[in-house]
Amino acid sequence: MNFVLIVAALATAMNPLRLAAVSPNDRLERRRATLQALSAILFVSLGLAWWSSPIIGSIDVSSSSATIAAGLALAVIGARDTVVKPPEFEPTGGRIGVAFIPMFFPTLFNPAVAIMSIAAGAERGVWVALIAVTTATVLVALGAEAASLKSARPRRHWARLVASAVGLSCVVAGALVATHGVMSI
Amino acid sequence: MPAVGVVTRRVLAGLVTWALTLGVVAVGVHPERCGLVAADEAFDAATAAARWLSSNIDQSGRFTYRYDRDRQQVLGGYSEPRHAGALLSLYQAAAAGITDAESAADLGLAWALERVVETPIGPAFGQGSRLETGSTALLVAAMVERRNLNGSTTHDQLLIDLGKTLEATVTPAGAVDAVIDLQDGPIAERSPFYTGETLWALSRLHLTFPDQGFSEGALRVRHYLIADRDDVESPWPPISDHWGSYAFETMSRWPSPPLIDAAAREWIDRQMWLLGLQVRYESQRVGGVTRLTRGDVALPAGIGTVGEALANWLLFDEREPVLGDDLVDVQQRAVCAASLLVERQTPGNEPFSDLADPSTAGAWFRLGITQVDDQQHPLSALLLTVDWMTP
Repeated sequence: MNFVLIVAALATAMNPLRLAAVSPNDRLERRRATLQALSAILFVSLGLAWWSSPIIGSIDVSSSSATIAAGLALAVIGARDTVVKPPEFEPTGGRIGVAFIPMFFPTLFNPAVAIMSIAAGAERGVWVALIAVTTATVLVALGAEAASLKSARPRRHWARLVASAVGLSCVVAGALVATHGVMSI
Repeated sequence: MPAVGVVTRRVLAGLVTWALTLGVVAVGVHPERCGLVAADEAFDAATAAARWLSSNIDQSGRFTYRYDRDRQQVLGGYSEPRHAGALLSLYQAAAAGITDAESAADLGLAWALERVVETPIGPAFGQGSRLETGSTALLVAAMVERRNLNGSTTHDQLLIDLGKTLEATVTPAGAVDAVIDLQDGPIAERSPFYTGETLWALSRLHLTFPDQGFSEGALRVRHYLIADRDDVESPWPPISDHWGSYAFETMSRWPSPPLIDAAAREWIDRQMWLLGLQVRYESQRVGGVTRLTRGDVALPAGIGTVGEALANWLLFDEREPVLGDDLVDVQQRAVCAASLLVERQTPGNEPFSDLADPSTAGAWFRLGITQVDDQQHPLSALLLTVDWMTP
């Protein structure tokens, strides 16, 4: 898997448009929550990439098969994002903040991101995976911020279309990743 | 909706997404069960396989071709290319120090030599009016193995003549005519295996008799194999060619090995993913639910050919490093193929004891049937892979 494909797969699986859709309306609160949620997914993804070899070794899966698994997960999450409209923002209140639910889980921490982080770490090594995960996270932060701009907010139907397009891109990335896994040794 | 309801609903939605996705992933990807096999276990398995071949050859030199374990019945049919392939494996076993293998192979060689007949393009091995080119190619490979084993030059002239016959089956483009008609000579039919077999035979002959000009034909077949064969004969899927890997390994020992150019590298890469995929897929077949998702286990001969190919590429890489970062993966797949073979072999550590049935001991069965090449290919694969296993 080349670096660009890893970044594209991770960024589309995190889907910045869906992240923006569940983020708070207030600008400061939104930015703080987005930062917290992305920091959390960065931490988790880096951990998964770091321990990718022991993880796949413990379940007797080669890095090639892990890559196929990542491709399948990307296809499923991408298909969902293509056809299911993004959820709306709803205040959760209480002690569990919106940054954790639903921004971190289930929006960012979905199976495609988790398995892709593992597959990238197993195939390309920890350091390439770390840079790819970090790059994807930065791109998602920028994408989510752009989608949340005041001028973009009234155009909800466009945002929904773009979220679907990102989902479709995730399906394509999944197909490429799975094909790469099949054609690996 | 109360706030706690929002959290619960979103968590449940997330968990459902995880469950569905992991369900799809579990159907698509299974654990790969590659057992750990020590080198001596693999060698014991190879010994048992060689003994099956030695025990199942009659006094005329003909092997038991196919056997039904459940009905305890020898089945019909015969294949000259597989006869010659079994000789090759037995001579490889003899070279590895397995006793009885050479005498059985010599018996089988005598049977084959009695069936070398004159054709319009020279002598060839086979029966009937249409001889398969692969029979002659593998007989040449086996006879060179024997020559390397005992140094005997008795059959040198025949080897050279058989080589000239093989050269005459190579078209100007490098394709190999798969059939030699006793009346009309080479027939323009193709076989997925005979191209690689002929390439290997010519490569071995060039290494053995460097002044006989066998390299020209070999290089022509090599070019066709890497540049055109898949496009012309099998656009999809490409041919997984273990005989080609034997040929490349042999050519790497030529005094002037052919260059590994972009086309050769691309073909090698294609072979690598085909072989890797086959091992990974096969190692996921563990019965139970995997029968539904992966089907029944492959023919033992098929797994053996994959093991032979991987081991030959590892040998090739020692002289022409092409695997790079993939070397470890290729080693793992080769050892995995060997471990599958050891695991699936009918126990046969003492095949000549009173308890052991010589029709089954040391053999590999699929759906209760074994065929001579189900021992031939696994035997060769195990012998070639032993060096990459833990002592």
